[in-house]
Amino acid sequence: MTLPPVQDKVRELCGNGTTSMKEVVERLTVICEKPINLIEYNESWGALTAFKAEFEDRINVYFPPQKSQQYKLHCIYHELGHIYLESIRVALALPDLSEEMLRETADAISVTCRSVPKHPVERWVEDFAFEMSKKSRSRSSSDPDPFL
Amino acid sequence: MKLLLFALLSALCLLRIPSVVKVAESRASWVASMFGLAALYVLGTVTPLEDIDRYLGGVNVTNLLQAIFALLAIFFFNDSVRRLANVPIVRWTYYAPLLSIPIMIVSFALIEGKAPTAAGFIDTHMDQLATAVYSGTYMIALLFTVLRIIYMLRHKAKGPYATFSAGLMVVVVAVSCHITYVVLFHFSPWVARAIGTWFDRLFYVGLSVTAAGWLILFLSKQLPRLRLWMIDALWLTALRMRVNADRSRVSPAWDLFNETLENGVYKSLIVLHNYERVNLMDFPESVQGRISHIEAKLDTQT
Repeated sequence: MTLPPVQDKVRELCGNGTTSMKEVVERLTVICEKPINLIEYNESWGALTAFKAEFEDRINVYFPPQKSQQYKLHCIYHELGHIYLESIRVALALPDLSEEMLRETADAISVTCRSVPKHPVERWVEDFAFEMSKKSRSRSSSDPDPFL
Repeated sequence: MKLLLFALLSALCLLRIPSVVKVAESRASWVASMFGLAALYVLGTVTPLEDIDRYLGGVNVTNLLQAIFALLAIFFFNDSVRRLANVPIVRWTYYAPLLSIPIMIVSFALIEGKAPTAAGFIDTHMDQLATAVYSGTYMIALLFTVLRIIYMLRHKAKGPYATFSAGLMVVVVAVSCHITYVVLFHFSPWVARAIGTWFDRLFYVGLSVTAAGWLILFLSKQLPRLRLWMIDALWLTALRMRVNADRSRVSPAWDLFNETLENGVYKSLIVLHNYERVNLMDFPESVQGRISHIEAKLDTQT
């Protein structure tokens, strides 16, 4: 399985400047031709940090309430990475969900989740989330000064 | 002045190693400073000129190396300015200065009686056409590249960047003096020499001003970032190592080195949150408090 370079795909999605989660969701909605809903899901999460469920007419990204805003955004970007990677037709990581989550997503076409990075796809989407965090932080190094 | 320039370029080369590892765009300017150092070295600033030249046959090859290294330094400096100013590569103007290198090598080879080693090699051999071609080509290539840099920097020449343009203008005057010297030598050697002596004085002053401006710009941008993030980055890296939050023991140190400080802090925070999730635990309150404080600081950047 050959995955495309993360930075190239991020540049394709967001260009060279900074971006926001709203813009990324809007662009992915256009690419996937389905609305993407971000849903804070207040259930028992165990070691999971977020997951994504694709339905016929929508894609839902579920995430737990988090104290850390940075971590919450990172977990959502991770799932958006899955959506993006699937849109370019690359193999998926296997889900690892609890009973409640499986019931919630019973009629989903496919499900992926965020857990500890281990699979190449998981590493790819984790790198995607990291790159997106750089682009959404205003003083990031996305436009480096070649002198410095 | 040469020694001052050597010290400034050495400081720049060392200080910029981390950013060169992290940011591919900054490599051209670092290569420029390395060639600048090489040019100054073969000028005899550290090891006596005679000793270096003796290893190369004692026929003033050091003079040719000085010219080539200086030209390459300016070439790569030009390339980083081009990136800074977002100017696309126009092949003939981009590569034209490099074409002067084979011309310089051939004309240098044609100079007769090149020995013995002398700092004033050009002046003592200027009666030969090959020397005029060699030295003239070098200076025209330098003048062309430096003028191009000044032109590309015209919109950026404010604040610290203005120092580059000021230093490079002095270099233009110096190079113009040397070109005048080459042209006038066959007609009026005494006048030519009087003008030519200004080259050495102005050339290194100009380059020193440029290098000093570069160093000031670098420090003015890096020091506030260091103050803001360095302690946090080290503390988070140490925490990652202490709790064994990564599968690899090298990862925390690698992130500290390979990422900018701010991105390194962000990465460490994510790794530590992952660690809490995977182990279904929370860090002690004091550690949580400090992590929250760092996150709040990072939030202000978002």
